[in-house]
Amino acid sequence: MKTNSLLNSVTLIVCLICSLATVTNVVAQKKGSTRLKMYYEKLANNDKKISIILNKGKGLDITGVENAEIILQTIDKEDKLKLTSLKTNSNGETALIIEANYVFPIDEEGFSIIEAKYNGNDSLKSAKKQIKFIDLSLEVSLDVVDSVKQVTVYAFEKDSIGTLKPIEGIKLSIGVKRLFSTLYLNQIETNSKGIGTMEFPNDIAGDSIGNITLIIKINDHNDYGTITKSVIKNWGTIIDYNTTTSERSLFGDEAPMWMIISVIIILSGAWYHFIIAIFKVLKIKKLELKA
Amino acid sequence: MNPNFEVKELLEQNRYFIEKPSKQWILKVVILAIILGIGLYALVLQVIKGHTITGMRDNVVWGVYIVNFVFILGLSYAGALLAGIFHLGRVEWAKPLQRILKLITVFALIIGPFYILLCLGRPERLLNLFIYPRIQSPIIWDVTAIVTDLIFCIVYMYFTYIKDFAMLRDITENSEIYTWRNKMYKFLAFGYQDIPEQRKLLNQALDIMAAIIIPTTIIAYSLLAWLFGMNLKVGWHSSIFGPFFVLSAVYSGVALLILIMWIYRKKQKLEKVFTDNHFLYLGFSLLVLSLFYGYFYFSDYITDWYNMQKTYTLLWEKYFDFSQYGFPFVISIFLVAFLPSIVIGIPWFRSVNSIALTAVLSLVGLWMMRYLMIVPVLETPYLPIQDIRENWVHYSATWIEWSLTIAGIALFALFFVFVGKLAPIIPISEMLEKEEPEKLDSYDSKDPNLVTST
Repeated sequence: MKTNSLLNSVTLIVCLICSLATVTNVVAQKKGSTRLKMYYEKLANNDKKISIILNKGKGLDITGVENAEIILQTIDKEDKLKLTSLKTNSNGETALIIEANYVFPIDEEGFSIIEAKYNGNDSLKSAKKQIKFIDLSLEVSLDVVDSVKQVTVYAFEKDSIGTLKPIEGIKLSIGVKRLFSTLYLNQIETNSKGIGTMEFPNDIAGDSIGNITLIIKINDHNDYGTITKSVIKNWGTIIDYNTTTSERSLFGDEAPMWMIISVIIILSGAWYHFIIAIFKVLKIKKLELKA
Repeated sequence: MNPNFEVKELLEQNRYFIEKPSKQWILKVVILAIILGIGLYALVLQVIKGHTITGMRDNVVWGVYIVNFVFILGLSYAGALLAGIFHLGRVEWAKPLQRILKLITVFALIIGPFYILLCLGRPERLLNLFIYPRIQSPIIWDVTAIVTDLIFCIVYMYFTYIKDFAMLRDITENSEIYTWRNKMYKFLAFGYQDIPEQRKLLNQALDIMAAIIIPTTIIAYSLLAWLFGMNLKVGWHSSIFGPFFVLSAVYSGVALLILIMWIYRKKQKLEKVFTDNHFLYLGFSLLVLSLFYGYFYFSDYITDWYNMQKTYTLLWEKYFDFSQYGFPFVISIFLVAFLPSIVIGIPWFRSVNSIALTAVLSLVGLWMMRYLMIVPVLETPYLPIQDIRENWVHYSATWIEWSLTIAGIALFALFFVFVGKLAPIIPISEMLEKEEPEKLDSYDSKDPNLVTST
């Protein structure tokens, strides 16, 4: 009886130790979580840019995953077509620019779907992210109507057979490109015909021939992503930034006129009063006889 | 300050100028002449052997000579500026100082420009400045300003002497001993008989001269400052240089005035003329100027330091490095910006002698500051100096430069010694004229005791 009891106790302890070791091992092998973010942007030249960020960690410890391989693929119904694979930089970022003439497969609702996939490694979990977008196009026309400069933007979708479908209610930010950022002038919304208009101000500074770069932008729309369109037009006021500075007169052949005039005024003023003082003293000599 | 003494008393106190030269006076002249002679010998050597016997080289092209030039011209302009301001402001207590100020002005303006000539490797080309002048050149501005100022200051000084010459003419009229002096005074008095019309004309002329001297000196010294400031050099290219130079000039001028006052007070027993109050007023002026100097210097420094461009950093490191210019920098800053606050600001230290000593030390400090303004800057060009001998990079003045510097001081003193023998060092007529004009008539020009007792 005693022998059985001792055996049971030993067996229980061994089982407990094995369980503990197993749990510890499982905890030790737990992989870190990762998260993919994707953004779609249609550039001014109609190229499409897919930006991807791969992060790891949680809360304040979120950091980018460096040198991770991201596989990009399009989804056409059930099929997945690999576009390319990219490596992330030190911030966990990477991007793909797709030429304007590339045709994405679309679903019944007109959406194109792109999937980014990270397969993970020994310490990080895999991650996957999809984005859907509709290829919206913007056409801009700049006209002067009764001396009023007018910006007209037409927003439309093109279906698979090439029919144009105007899009209503799109908010467009309109601005001009400055040296370091964009100066936004107004935000307009397209009507039922997909058209939005804005009167362009007359006092926007342009370059040396009055050219300005007009920027029309849709910011992070749920369906259309970010779309930027730019047009160059000579609607700005002419400013020659390369103004030539006047010659450094001290090293020129001739003194500047202001200098000559100043010297003459100062010196002649001083000497004139000096001569007056001399004459006053000369009169003293004449008065000697009177004394 | 109302002079509470009679003309006769004043003349008695200042009779040394009509006495025969004493042995002490001759000894003084001989010593100064020997120092001057050594300087002339150094000058001859420099002319024969060239700048190679000085410390000046390709990089540090200006040394002690230009320091002396800037310093001495500053004294000159300060003398003229203060004399003009005191005259136009009708500052009664400053009347006894007028003559000294004008003498400082003229003597310094004669001696100072010699030092710029000593900097020239080819002095015979100096004439080209006048033959082919370029109005755009700051050097032409400076030459024009100095020449104009020299003429104005000499004439202004002479005008202030006329009344005293007339008085001396009358005093020496019957003297058999001083016939040549009488002739000279008669010539220099220019027919002045102190009739109201003459007095009015002379006072008008003096007012005009004082009025034109003030802007002339400010412009002239600012031009000298711009001569530095318009150089693209670290430490020089600063818009504060013009007013800073003028301030430094006035500061050094007041200090020299205190020193000369102290010497005459001690030597000629002129306690009634250069009173304790004179030292007190000028001492406080010295204190205020030292504070302004500190403020200007700090303002210039912090502007450079805050940006800390590379070459500026190199320059300022030299000022704070005790193996380079650290000691002279700290000493001169202390002497110039802090010492007057301690000695004159604290009543316990304040006395005529301590004020005079502070003035001397301030003068030394101001000279050192100008040295530090010029030499370390030239040793710190934007393009680094490379592959050149060490003694070509760092400037060190030779005995030639030092002896010519001391010779300049000796010449300055010699001028005072000689002029002091021809006319009183204080403007006696002017001192008495405004307060009590009738006293001018009280002196008996025929009093034989004034001239025959010698």
